[in-house]
Amino acid sequence: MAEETESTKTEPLKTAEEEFKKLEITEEEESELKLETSDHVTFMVEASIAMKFGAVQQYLEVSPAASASATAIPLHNVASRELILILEYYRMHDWVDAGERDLKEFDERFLKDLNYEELKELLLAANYLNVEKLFNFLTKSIANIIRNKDVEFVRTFFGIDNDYTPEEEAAYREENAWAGVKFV
Amino acid sequence: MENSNSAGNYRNDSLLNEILVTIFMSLNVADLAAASLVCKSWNEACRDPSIWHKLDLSRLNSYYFNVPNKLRAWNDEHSNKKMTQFIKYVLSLSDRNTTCIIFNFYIYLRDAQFITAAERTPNLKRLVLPKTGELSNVAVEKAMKSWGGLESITVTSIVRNSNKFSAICKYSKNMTEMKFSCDFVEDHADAMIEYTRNLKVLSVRSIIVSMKALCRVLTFLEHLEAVNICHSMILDTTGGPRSKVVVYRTISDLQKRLAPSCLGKLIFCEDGNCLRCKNACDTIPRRQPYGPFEGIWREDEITSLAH
Repeated sequence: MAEETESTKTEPLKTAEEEFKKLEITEEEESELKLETSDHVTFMVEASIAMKFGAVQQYLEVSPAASASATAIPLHNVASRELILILEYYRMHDWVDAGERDLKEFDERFLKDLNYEELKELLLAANYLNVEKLFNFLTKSIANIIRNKDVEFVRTFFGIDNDYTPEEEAAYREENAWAGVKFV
Repeated sequence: MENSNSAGNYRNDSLLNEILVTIFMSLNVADLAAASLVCKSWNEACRDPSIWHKLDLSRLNSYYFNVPNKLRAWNDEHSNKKMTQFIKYVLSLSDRNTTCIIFNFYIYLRDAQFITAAERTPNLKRLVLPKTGELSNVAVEKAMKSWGGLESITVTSIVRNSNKFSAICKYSKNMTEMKFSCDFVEDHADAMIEYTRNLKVLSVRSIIVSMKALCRVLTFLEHLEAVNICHSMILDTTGGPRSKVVVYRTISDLQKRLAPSCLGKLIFCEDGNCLRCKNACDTIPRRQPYGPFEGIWREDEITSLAH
C-alpha cells in the first residue's frame, strides 16, 4: 500500500519536471534572436522584445530564415552603445512587475543620464529601428523639457554648445530684445 | 566595412533636422522662438515651413511671456513694443509661409503689431483678430492691402466701426468665410453685399444680430451656403425707433419673417433658450474671469471658423 502511493506521487512529479525542461528548451530556442550592430557586436535578444523593432520585423518578413538563431540580423545604423540603451528601455517596460511609479522613475533617470550627443544618436537609432514607443517617449520628453524654459537652461540641460559667433550673437540679441537679457 | 559606410551616410543632419521639426511642432510659438536661439541646428529646424502655416499667438505662456487673462492686457508702451518685436522675430522664422494668424484674445492690439504682421505674411488666408485693441483707419487700410488673398476672418469689436469694416471688405475680394465676435449690424451687411460677393459661410453666433442685416445678407449674397446663428439674440427694429423691439429667439419665431429658402441655410440652437443663449445676450460683460468669452471667440459650429 505504502509503496504504491509513493510511485503514484513521484510519477506526476517527474513528468512535470520533464515538461518544464522541455518548455525551457523550446522557449530558449524560440525566444531569442541574434542581432548584429554596426560595430559588429552580436546580441542575443528575446524575440518578444526584438519583434517590437520595426526594422527587425521587416527583415524577418523578407528573409524568414534569420529567425533561426544561427544567422544574425544586421542593424546597419545602430551601434552597440545605442542598442544597449534601447534594450534597457524595452526590458524595463516589458517587465511585468514594473509599476507605474517605477517606470516613471526609470524614464526620468534614463533621460537624465544622456547627454545631447547620446540623445541625438539614440533618436537616430530609434528612428531607424522604428521603435515607436521609445521614439515617442524621447520626442515628447524633449518637447516637455523645452516648454516654459529659458534658452540657457535648455543649453545646459542637453549640453548643447552655443555655436553662434559673437557677431551673430549680438545681432540675435538685438533682434530678440523681447526675451530681455535672459537668453544670453 | 560596407555596413559602417552605410551607417555613416545614414547619420546625416537632414534626418536629425526632420526629427527636431517633429519635436518642435508640438511647442507653442513662444517656446519655439526660444528653441530657435539655442544653437544653429535648432534654429534651422525652427524655420521649417511646416511649423509655420498657422501662427497661433493665443497660446503664448512660456518662460518669456506670461499673458494675464485680463482684457486690454499689455496696453502699455513697453509691452506693446516687446510684442511687436516678438511678432517680427517669429515671422522672420516663418519666412512668408504663414497662412493663418490668430492674435491673442487678451493682448491689446495696436497699429505697429498689426502692420508688422501684415507686412510679413503676404500669403495670409485666415485672420483672427483679438478682443481689444486700437487700430487707426490708415493702419487697417495698409494691412488689408497687403493681405489681398485673405479668405477668412474673425471680426471683433476693434474693427466693428463701419469705416474699418468696409476697408476690410474692400480689399478682400476672395473672402469666403466670416465670423463676428462683436454685434452684427446693417452697416456690416451693406459692406459685405458691396464687396465680398463670394461669401459662402457666415457665423454670427453668440452675439446680438440685427434682423435687417441678417435678412439682407441672406437675400443679396447669392453664394451664401450657411449662416450660424446659434445662441444669438436677433433684434428687429423695423417698426422705427419708438416702437417696441421684436426679439427672435427660436427658429419658429424666425419662420414668420424669413423665406423657407433662407431658413434652410441657418445653423441654429435647437433649444433656443439654453444657458449659452442666455449668456451670449448678456450685453454688459461684467463677469470675471474672461475665460467664457475667450471660449465663445474660439468655438464655432462651423469647424473651419473655430480655432
